[in-house]
Amino acid sequence: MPEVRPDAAPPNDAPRSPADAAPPAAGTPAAGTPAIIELRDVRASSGGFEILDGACVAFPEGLCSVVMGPAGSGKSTLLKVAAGLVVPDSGSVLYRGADLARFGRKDEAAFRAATGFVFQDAALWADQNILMNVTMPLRVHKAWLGPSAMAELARETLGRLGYDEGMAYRPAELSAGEQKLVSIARAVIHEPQIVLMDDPTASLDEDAAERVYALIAKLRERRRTVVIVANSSELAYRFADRLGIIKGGRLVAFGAYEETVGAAEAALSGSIARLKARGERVAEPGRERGPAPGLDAGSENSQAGDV
Amino acid sequence: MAIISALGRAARTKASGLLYGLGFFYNVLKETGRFFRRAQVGYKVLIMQILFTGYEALAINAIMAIAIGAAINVIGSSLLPQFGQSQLMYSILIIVITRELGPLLTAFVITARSGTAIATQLGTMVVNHEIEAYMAVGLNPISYLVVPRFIGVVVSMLVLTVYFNIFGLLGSFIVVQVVNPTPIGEYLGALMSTLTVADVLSGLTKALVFGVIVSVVSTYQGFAVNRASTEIPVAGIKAVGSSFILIILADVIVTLVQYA
Amino acid sequence: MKFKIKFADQIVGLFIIVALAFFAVIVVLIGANQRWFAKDYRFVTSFPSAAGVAPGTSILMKGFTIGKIDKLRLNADNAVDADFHIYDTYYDKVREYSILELTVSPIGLGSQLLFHPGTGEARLEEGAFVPTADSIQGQSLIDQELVLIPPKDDTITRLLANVNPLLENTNKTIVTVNRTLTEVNRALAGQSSGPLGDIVGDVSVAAAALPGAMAGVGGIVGDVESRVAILLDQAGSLLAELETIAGNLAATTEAVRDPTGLVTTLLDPSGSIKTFLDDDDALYKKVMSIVGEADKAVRSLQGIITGLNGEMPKIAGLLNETKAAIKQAQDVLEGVKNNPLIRGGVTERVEQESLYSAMREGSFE
Repeated sequence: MPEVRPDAAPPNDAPRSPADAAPPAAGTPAAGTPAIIELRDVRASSGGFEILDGACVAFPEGLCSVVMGPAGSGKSTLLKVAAGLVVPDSGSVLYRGADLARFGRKDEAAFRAATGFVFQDAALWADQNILMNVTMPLRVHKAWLGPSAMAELARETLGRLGYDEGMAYRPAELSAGEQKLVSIARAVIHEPQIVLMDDPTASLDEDAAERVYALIAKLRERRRTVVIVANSSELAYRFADRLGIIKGGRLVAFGAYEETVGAAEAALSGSIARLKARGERVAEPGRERGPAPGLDAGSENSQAGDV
Repeated sequence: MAIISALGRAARTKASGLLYGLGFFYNVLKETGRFFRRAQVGYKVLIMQILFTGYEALAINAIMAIAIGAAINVIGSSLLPQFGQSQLMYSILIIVITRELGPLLTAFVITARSGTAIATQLGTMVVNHEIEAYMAVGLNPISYLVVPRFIGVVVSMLVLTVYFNIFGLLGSFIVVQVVNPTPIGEYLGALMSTLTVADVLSGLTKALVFGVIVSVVSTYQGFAVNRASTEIPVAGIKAVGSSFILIILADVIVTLVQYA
Repeated sequence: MKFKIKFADQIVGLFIIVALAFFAVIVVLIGANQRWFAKDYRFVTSFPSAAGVAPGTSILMKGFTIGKIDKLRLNADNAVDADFHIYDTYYDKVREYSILELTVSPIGLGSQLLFHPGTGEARLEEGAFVPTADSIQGQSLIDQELVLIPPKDDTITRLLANVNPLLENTNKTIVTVNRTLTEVNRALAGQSSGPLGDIVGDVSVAAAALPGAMAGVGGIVGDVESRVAILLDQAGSLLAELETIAGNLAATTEAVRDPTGLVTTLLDPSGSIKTFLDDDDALYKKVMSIVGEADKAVRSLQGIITGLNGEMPKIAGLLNETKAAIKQAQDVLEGVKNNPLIRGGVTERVEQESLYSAMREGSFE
């Protein structure tokens, strides 16, 4: 993640509530934290199949929420609905209390500038080289930067993620892992307030995954809202301020990490079982351990993407 | 009973499909209006679209135009004088090249070349979630992906139609010189006094309409791909089929409007 | 490929600019050829009917478009008022006594609106009325020869224009020949009391009109020459033959008119048929040669007409009839000459039928 530049700082359009001033302790319910994105009774279907069946969830601002669930449980769709990429059949999606469906052009532009989205399958634009792919959000939202500044920023962001191939390659020339890194870089290069990640560590090798963990840790540190859907217990264990369990298109649990891990017996899935097995988290795990990746070398490699 | 309800369902699906298509077209037009009002990232896409659709089709377009023009020239200059109606050759040349075949053949070439390309390209982008990626960075797929293709195809159609006229009316003349020399002054004079602005405008109107049809149908079919890569070639085929039918219908309608 | 992508902007720009330039050139050329920038002079006229004219109909003079019809209105007198314009380059042709003529092609190839300039010195003022050829005003201008009417413009019209007076003259000749024959017959039957000399005089007068027609034929033949090479020979020999006829008839006329001439002395007022037959066949030979030449002329004419046979079976048929009539006349005259009472019998005729007689005649008769 590039360092924060004064001119590139994201616009802080909504004044933060006093409750935000102090970072809430991870794992404890932060009642005062306002929801930045909220899904209300969302139903969504695709090709005649119901994917989301009345999903309700509120992702608190400035915290890292992780939603876990088995393959086919609707994780990706949930994230896309939250990002406004999939229009729900019914129900509403609120961004800072305003319905996404009623957004005008300006609202939408502001919303897009404030969000970054990591697709499960990278979803890079095949007809553009890596530089163009990564700098696209800048060209859309920060066009004033100019091409050389954009290229510099892209190099820096990709460098932090450990991408060391050329910028002139086309996506198809890269490995799946490299593509994923590029897509993560693309999602964060414009310093969005909210980063939505669909299985960010899928298809990454361990070193690359650690660099992604470091990036997420940094985002948390800087109080960005991070929403991750994944089937990786590693991600949840390290970063989840809020942990949700999705099953059959519904969130069966969503709350502070300990709460969910402790209470969601009914919805026990393999991942939760694994989290349970890990036991108590070290105090503020994300905050402490985030900047120092690689220490937990023995940790389970999280490859459990929902295919 | 089952048949009736099936029929009803089919009709409703068709109607909603048509409405969706019209809505799509409306959005394309709306975004096109915006495209010209702001400097957009889509500019490069537009240039590439014109390069592929227009410039690269120039050769085949020119060959067709010269061949047809030369055929009319040769037939006209040997057959028509037998009826004492050699002047008619220019009218036939203009009706065929400028009014009818020029726009029609150009549209067919563009459909075959770029219609399929656009539909499969957009279909691939849908399958690879590239469209969603554009939405995620705040680019409206219609204004970023459809509008440049729309404008590119329409501009290419218009420009290629002008070239078709030039090659068909003048290029063919040069070819015919080899077989049947005619003074250029006489040819040009007769041609230009027979050609009217209405002929030219008629051809360009058709080119415009056909360009709109090809681009909108192709992009629509491209976006109609849902998630399987097997749908992509189907989208290409549908784009060509629907474009051809709509082009022929539009040709008849435009001709009727102009002659009625 | 790389080159194309690198210079995409330039290539596309050039691609469009060249097309725009061509488009502009075409529009300018159309404009120049269709006189968008030139002044037009407006006039009015009146047609009995708007059939064959429409706004935009070209006004032709010697094959050149010199103007166009702008507007047609049916007026209160059920005539059609028309506005038209003449291009400035041809404005000096629009002189006093000019007329318009609407000609309809006889074989359905549409109509032509012709302009015939007047012989007047003064140019017509803009807005002036130009009569049509079929109006009373136009007719009187034509009759007074105040307007120059050239031969018709398309080959077929021209040929027809050529053929009509010829046919007329031939017909006149034949009618007179018939009358002569009738009179001869009556005289033979002893029923006639009129002077035979008068009748022969009639033949001469009728045939004397031929030279007038021939002057026209000369012009027509010259004009048609370039286009109808095949017909040229026939038309040329026709001309020669007609000149022979004319010459002979003129001589006959002279002879008839000469108070002391051969004919007068031969044809005594009492109209004795004996004189006609016994003058060493002088008059008979004369009439015979005239009729024979007329026959040849008609055959040549038929040769021309066979060229048009497909389109005009009627004319061909008429000529066949004419030929037959002349043949009959020759037979009768010869019969008279060889009167069995006086001489002996009618010579057997062996004649080749016209190869070009229309198929329709055969199949419908």
